[in-house]
Order: sequence, then structure tokens, then C-alpha cells
Amino acid sequence: MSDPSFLSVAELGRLLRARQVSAVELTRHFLDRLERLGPTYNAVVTVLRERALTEARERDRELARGRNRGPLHGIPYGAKDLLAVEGAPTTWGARPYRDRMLQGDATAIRRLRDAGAVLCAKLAMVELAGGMGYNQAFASFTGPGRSPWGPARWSGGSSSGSGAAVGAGLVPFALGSETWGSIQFPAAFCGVTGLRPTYGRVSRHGAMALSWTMDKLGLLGRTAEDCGHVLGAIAGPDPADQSALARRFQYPPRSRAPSRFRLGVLRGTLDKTQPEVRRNFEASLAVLREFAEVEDDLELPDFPYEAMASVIIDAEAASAFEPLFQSGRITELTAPEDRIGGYSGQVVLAKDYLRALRLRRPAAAALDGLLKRVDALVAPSLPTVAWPIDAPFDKVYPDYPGGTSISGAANLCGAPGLFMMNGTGEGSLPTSLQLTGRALGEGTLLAIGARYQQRTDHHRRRPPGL
Amino acid sequence: MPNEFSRREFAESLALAALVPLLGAKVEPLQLGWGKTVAASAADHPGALAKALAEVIRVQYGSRLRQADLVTITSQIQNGLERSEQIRKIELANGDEPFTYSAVAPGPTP
Repeated sequence: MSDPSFLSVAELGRLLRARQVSAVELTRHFLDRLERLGPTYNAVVTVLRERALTEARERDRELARGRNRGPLHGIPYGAKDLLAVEGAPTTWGARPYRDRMLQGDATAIRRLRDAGAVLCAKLAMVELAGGMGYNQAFASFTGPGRSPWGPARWSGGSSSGSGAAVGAGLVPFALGSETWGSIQFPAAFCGVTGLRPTYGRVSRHGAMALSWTMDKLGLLGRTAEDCGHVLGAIAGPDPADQSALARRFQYPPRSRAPSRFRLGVLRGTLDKTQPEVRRNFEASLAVLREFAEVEDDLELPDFPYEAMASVIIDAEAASAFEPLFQSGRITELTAPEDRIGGYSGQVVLAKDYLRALRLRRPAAAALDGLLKRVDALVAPSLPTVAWPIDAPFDKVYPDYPGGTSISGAANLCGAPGLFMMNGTGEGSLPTSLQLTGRALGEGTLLAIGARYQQRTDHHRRRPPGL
Repeated sequence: MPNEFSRREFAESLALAALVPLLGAKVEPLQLGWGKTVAASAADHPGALAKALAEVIRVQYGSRLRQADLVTITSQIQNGLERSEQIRKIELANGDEPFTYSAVAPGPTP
């Protein structure tokens, strides 16, 4: 068996179905890497060796009988440790929960099992998904997430282990979550492809709640195509989560993608970005123009998106984590600022929270009015490469805070996003490109992403030494 | 009626006045109304409402918080109030309801 560590789901699936490799062999390969390399990146909380091998043996038996569950059959993966998995601790990255066992599997875990994927590990994350306002990488009881592209750099958060594990070839794909930036950052800092689905696309049943009205489950993988296969498995209605949308997601899509797309770039999107980020973004635009019209200088509708998102998250997190405040166990969190960062949310005025929720509809309508003019907005995922691991976030790259950002608006309004490596910048670290689309427009984003990745090889690059 | 002092704001001023002894500081009369800030100061100079809300935290959780923590928390509350003030600048109709789930209009079927 040649090294499968950095093969895509599609490539691994072909090997499996051709019997050139077994699910057990693949699973052992990735379990070994998780155990051997996971600590280097502080990427892993729990390796699920026995469970994974049991599932892999069953998938091999099924293939021998002629049963193929689909593109994820026999494919190993990891899950951010905010998802409940029967028989394993679910820690939320937080010391107070390091030994806590939850009953049953999260819906996303169950759906991936039904699709034939093999869960190998629960992956590290920023404590409480960053809901207490962390300002440093040292904000998890498993240690700071380290990027495979440079262990002195942060892997991003809060899906730190999901990004690092995919980036280091420890798993082909990993589930993550995003309330505001938690897939975007690890995808960008670890040089992988990340998909933040539409709010409600994926059931959150069995997942930690940080902000009920903003949390989204998504994933990190090698390619846009892989992301499509995984989303196809996990999306859809769920009686256990009333926010889960009724619509399913079909991948590959039944209808062909258009031959040309329409893309938009916000005015000011390149302001105060690192020179290499700007250079790589402009090179990406040149590639995208081969199959898309690009409209420049679009204006983001004028709403206080970040303020609204902050008020909502503060208030909802204060309620979601109230037991930690009541018990006093909030003081056990790793980052000192997290031990006190949530108190201000306890006194968000009800009228302010409700006002933010009331403004969300006109803000979403205005954003949708912009997004429907194009197939996607395109922008750098972040204004810089991965941040040094030993500096407070508010002190890193002060000269490059970035320009107009779609991130707050998209997260507030539940719009999907796709993040893809598009080159390297300072220190040979990855830079990244993001696409933002209309609600339920993941198919379009993935089609654009796949076409971009057909024309480039950034997603195939490996971190040094791996 | 943008410049009227609402009943709720009046109630807030009363609540603040009741907290004055706990705060140990003089609370200025509130100057609330459309387009005006609740507390116009920056986060490192928290206003009366931020201090009052911090006192709520102190009453509930003060036994485990140091004075320096309370200073930080007060500053964070002030930041939050300033964010809320940004939101308050946009007019809403009486019938605009809170929007929780599925916050965006549906896009194309994939």
C-alpha cells in the first residue's frame, strides 16, 4: 500500500472499492498516525482504536458481501470533541468536562456511521469553542493547537484539532463547528479545505451549544469534492433538532453546474492584508476568471453585523454555560481570560439581546440581496498567515487587521462558506481563499471550489516533513 | 417619538439609583433617548450602567472574583453596552419580531 495519508476521500474510496486496500488497513494506518503524530500538534483528545477497528472490520465484511454504503464507505475520520460519542469522554476542550461521558452518539456521528465512515478519534478544540473570549492559543486543557505547517504557529480555533489532524494527514476529514470563525481559522492556518454549511443544514443534536442561533456543524477535508460527499451524508432534517432544515443535500448534484459563474469582491476586502495574502488572492482571481465573471467593488449592506453577533453570542453563551458559573467550575478553565470572560454575558440586557435578534431578519434580507447578485463572494479567508503560538491574539500582526470582512455578516445570517488553501505566504505558511454564498447554496460553492482545485494544486501540497 | 424618555428607560434610571450605595459612586442622571449613548465613555472609563451591571456580577459571584477581575469585567460590560448602542441606532418597527432559526432567505436548490 502506498502512503494514503494525504489522499482524498474520493481517491481512498477508489482504492477501497478496487480492493487495493481494506478498511482495516486504512483505519490502522490513520490510528497509528493519530497516536504517533497527534501529540506533536496537540490535535487529539481520545483515539478510539477498538471502536474504529470494529467498525472497519464490519465495513470490510460488507464490501466482501457486495454492500457499498457510498463514497464514505470505510473512510476513517475524526470529530471535534464537542460531539457526543457513546463510550468516550466528550470534553468540549474544557478541564471541568475532561472525564464526562455522554450517552448516545450525536446525529452527525450516527449519520457518518450509517454512511460507512469509520470514527477514529475525538479531536482537540478550544475550550467551550471559544465562548469565553480567549485571547491566546493556550486555551484548551490539551494544550495549544499547533499548525502542521509550523508547530510554533497556531492551528486556529476553535476546531483546532480538526484542522491540524487533516492538515497533518492524521485523518482524511474531520467534523468541526463554527459559531464565528471556528472552521474558517483552522482551514486557513492548516492549509486545508473547510466547509461551513448554512445554519440548520446539519443537525446539532449531540453537539455542545455555544450559541443556539448561530452554531453550525461543518467539516475540514482535503478537497471541495470531499466536503460535498461528507455534507451529503450529514445534512438533513432531524426530529431531535428543531433548527435542522428539512432539505437534504445531494452530492454530486443531479444537475450540471453552469459553465461560467458570477463572483463578487467586496470593496476594501484587501485592505490591510499581508502582501503575500494579497498576491495569492489576485492569483486566485486570475484562475477564477477562467470560468467566472468577477464583479469588483461590491458594497456590504450597512448593518452592525459584528455587534449583533457579539451580543447574541454573549447572551446565549451565558445561558448555555450557566452551570459552570453557578458551580464555580468556570475557574478551572485553562486560559486565565476564559475564567472571567463570560461574566459580562450574564448581564446582557434582555432588550439588547432581543433587539439583535429582531435586527437579524432585515440584516439577513439585505445580505441576501447582495448574495443573490452573484454565485459567491470571494475574499481572502484571513488577512495574515497563521499566528505565532506564543503571543496574545490582540498583539499579533497589528499592521494587518484586514479589510472589509464578510465573516461576521455570514455567520450572523447563517450563510455558508468554503475555505481553500491558495498558496503560501510569510514563513512558507498557507494562505487561504474563501467563498461565501446564499443560504443553501453549498452546491454552488462546492462546484466553484472543485473547479478552482482542478486548476490548481495548493490543496495537494503537504506541510514540510510530512 | 425618538427623543422621549421611555418608561423602561425611566425604570432603568430608578434601578440605577437604587444601586448607588452598592457602587460607592455617584450615578449621573441618565440621558437616554434616540441616538444618544447609554454611557458615552470608552471601555476603560466605564459608565454608570456598566458599573451597575458589574455590581450585579459582584453580588452573585463576588466571592470568587478579585478586584482586578471586576475591573476587567466592568470594562467588558462597557464594551458590550457600546455594541448594543450600535445596534440601537437602527430603527425597528413594532412588528419586527426576533429571528432565531433559519435566519436567511432560501437560496437555490442544490
